[in-house]
Amino acid sequence: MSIELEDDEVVSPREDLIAAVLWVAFGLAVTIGSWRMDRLEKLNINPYEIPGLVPFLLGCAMSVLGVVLFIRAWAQGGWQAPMASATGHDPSLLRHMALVFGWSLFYALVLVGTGLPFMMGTFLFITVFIGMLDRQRQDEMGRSAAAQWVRAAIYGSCWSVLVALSFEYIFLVRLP
Amino acid sequence: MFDGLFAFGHSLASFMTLESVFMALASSLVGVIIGALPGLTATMGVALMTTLTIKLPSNQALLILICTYVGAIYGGSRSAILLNIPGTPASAASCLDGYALARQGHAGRAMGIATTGSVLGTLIGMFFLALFTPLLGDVALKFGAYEFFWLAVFGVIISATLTGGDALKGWICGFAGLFVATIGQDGIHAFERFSFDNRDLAGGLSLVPALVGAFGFAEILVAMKERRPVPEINPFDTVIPKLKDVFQYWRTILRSGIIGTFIGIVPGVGEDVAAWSSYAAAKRASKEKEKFGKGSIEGLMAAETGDNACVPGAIIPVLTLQIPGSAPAAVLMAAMLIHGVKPGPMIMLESPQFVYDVVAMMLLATIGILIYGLVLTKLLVKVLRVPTTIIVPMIFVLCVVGTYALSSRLFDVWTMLFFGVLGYVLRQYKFPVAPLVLGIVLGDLMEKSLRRGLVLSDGDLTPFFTRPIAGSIFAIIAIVLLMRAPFMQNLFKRKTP
Repeated sequence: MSIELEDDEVVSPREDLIAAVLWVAFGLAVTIGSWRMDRLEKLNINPYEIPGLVPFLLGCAMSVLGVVLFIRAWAQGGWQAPMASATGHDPSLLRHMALVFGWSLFYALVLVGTGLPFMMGTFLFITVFIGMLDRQRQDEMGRSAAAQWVRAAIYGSCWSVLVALSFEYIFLVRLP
Repeated sequence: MFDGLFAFGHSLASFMTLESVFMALASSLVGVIIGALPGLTATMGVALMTTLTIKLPSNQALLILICTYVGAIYGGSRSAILLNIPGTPASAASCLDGYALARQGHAGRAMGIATTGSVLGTLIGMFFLALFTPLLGDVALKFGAYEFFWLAVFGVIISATLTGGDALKGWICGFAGLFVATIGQDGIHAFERFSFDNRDLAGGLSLVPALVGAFGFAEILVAMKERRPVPEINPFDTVIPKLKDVFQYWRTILRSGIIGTFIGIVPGVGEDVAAWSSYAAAKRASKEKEKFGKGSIEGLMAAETGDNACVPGAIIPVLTLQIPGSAPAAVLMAAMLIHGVKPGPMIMLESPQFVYDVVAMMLLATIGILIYGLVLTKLLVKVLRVPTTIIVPMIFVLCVVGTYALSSRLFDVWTMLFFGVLGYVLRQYKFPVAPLVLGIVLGDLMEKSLRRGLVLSDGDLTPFFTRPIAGSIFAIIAIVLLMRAPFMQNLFKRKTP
């Protein structure tokens, strides 16, 4: 299907081992939650219609597959293998991704739906995003900081107005 | 035969309004642009457009989505040829020969071949869509709860197995997706499951926000991580396709079209596998094997015909079985359900005209990509030069406002964010997201079919294995799983000299 895996990065068996433990724990939690779920006996339903049946089977399946992943990672020396992230992560990339994550989540969780007009929130989001993350490219092009922010603000205002107006008047959506 | 042609003619005539033609061309262009931009995929495009078209009448909304889908699969070839970066995973096979041709100074010719292959591929797929949907619809009428249960499991298993990467991780994700679909009130007794007394969660997790998150937000996070520089694109020759290329490689085109369509029909596999399979088959049958990977016109034609033929192919199981053949088809199916169109075995009895409407929509999309392939190359090259740092925040705004627009509730936005972050983390640890999403899509069908089947047989499991179709699907699942077992792989390795 559509999302392709990146082949250039390798996952260490140690990471697989940790992931396997998390999957087994998740699978067991689902299994236990389903087992303890109300079986609606007082409604006198068919026992094969109990609500927990399918989640129980899926929880078991995830746990079993998690155990298989654990065994495979263990056999590949996962216990002693180093974490891939400890050997290969660039601090500037981590900062960059933290900024992308943080600012995107701030927009979706705080700027949208907490009272600030949608157009204003979107303008702020796009302007700051482009202003901060496009800086390196703009510096290489020799643009001053003021010119960069003006440019980012133009993008921000155009897109926020376009999206807000088209959603309100074409798609007839009441914006948050 | 003639009934089908008349029905198709009727459908086509119904779309011959200025409004519909404009929508078809505009959405094909949107699709081509989304497909051309590395990091943005067809699934993301269709998911985003689903959120934008929610208030439109069903036929117009689906026309837009199908045109976006076809456009995006075609658009991926632009960046594959010019930048050696597949715009969508479906165009990965086109990089091999497309970029090699571009380096030899034949980028224009390569784009012309991609356009020809895509147009012919879609037409071949359309033919089979019109031909097979009624036939498969008749077979689907024989499906009961047992068959649908195994078919849903088959979709998840095969998607995890054939999409590349680690099948074991794919299966885990597939089962997790099936579990996600059980969150909220169950479909039979409306009992709240795993909702933790949260009113929003009790209604279940909506499919479209999950898809926009997993294929939209997650993809833009990956695009930001890659920090691609703005590419330099060399001048290129004419993009007008040569008839000689079509006549010389007609066998390859036909073969790739058939392979692409049939791979599309297999639930959960998709365009990238179709392109690679068509490419591999073309290489095996070619008299010019040595040219493959070094600028083979035949190789590029095969890959592009295969991936675009897969699009109509992937819609065949959506219409007949309510099981998507690919990730964008899964979104399309969700959109059909949102718009009140009920695909499935009854479609040829309840609304046979709709099948031909879809074929007509495909034809309009094909005309769209043909026009853009011939006249809008320079604009597309300009689009490729727009830096990711500018596109990403704009797309993210659409992800947020689009998911909000579905039912005007912020919970959908939170769902989108959750699946975006989950999708990103899973990808970092090589857990494929596609089976997870397919699991969410097929979860409801799988659960209802299992419970219904058990009630019908009073807990007896034998009908799941002894009914001919159910037993056959189970046998295929068992073979797929066994083939992945280490002892079987060792057996095959030993036999190979």
